[in-house]
Amino acid sequence: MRRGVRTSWPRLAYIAAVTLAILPLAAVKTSALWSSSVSTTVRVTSAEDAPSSLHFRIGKSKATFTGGTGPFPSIAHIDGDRVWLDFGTVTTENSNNSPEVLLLGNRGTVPCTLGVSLSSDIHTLFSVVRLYPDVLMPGEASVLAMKLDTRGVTPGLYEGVLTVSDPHRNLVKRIPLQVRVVASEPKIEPDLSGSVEESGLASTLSTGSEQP
Amino acid sequence: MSALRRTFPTWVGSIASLVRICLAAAVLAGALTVALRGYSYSAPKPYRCSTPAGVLKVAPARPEPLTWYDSAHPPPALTNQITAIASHLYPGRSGTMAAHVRNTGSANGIPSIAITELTDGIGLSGNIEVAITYTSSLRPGVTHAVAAGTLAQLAASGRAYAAPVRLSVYSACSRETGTWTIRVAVPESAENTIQNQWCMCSVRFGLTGVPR
Repeated sequence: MRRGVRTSWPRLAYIAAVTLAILPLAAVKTSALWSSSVSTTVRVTSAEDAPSSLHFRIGKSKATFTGGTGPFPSIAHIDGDRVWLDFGTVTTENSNNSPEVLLLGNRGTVPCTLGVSLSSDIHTLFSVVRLYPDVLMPGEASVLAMKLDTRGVTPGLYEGVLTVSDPHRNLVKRIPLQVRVVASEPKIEPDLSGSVEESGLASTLSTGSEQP
Repeated sequence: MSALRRTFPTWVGSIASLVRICLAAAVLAGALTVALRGYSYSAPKPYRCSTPAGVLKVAPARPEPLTWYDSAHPPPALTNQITAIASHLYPGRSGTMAAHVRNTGSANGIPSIAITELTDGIGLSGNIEVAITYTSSLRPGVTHAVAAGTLAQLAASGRAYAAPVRLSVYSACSRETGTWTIRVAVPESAENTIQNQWCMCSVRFGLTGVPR
């Protein structure tokens, strides 16, 4: 019994030493136990379907029918979802402005950036194709302006496509377009100098043949 | 006298055994605590006033003046800062939210952020790129990129992304404020399938104790 009691003193000293060594470590470790947090929310919604929010209206610009009698119809035509442009029949000397071919309205709630382009088969016929403003705000409308320039164009029927699209191609609207180009009416200028036979021009123009 | 000698060591031996048992229990309890809770970012733990601990406060960067919130009074949705963007995300659009954090406790901590509780429809969160950075007011020119990925990825990771710097206790000596910046963006490559979608998640700002 006495021997057992004697041996417990070193054990007690050993335990005390170990405890003293461990406690600071435990204190350091427990200092990492706490945590504090605050939560909040994030909610995002994507834009609605852009094509469904875009609508077209016929502009004021009228078609031209050379040789016809007015009143002429508008260039733009709308039948339900179908939209097309018919510039009528123009001569090879046509360079008229059509400042309001079509109106594009934004019925949605998202601003929409739009651009217009012509297919390669007709793009040489137009010197101006512009949508203004190109950023279409909700509830507002953009105006499509075009300028036909048929000078030097071979007479014939031209068909192509006007494409309205946004930069991300989420919205792509293809609008068929046509224009018939005919030869210009000859201009007969009064002869102030001499006889018709002398100039030889009048007879040539009246037949519609081209000058070399 | 000899009888007393025999009795005294026996009594001390009993005390020693008791102390030994108590120390073993304390060490075991400490080890269990460290093992189970040591580095957890889970729900905030109550702390005793006697134990140094950090307390996190969060203030959305807008509107000003700043209002500080805590876990008992959570801040409003971060997306309130970018309502026009967050409510109408579309390809190419982005917005940045920010929140300031302060440690009003008594111990320094590591700030962290986690995306949790994601609710998504058909994949909008997979198309929202998120970039999270952290800046300390003590070194305003240094921005730490903490996390990046899609919203879906960050939420699925289940991680709390820790800033690489400590947030010291806000006091007269150290008026440190941290700033979390969260940028959300929809890449231009996103398809039309994200239209008319929404998703919601929680952003949990954390502050965790570190060994001293």
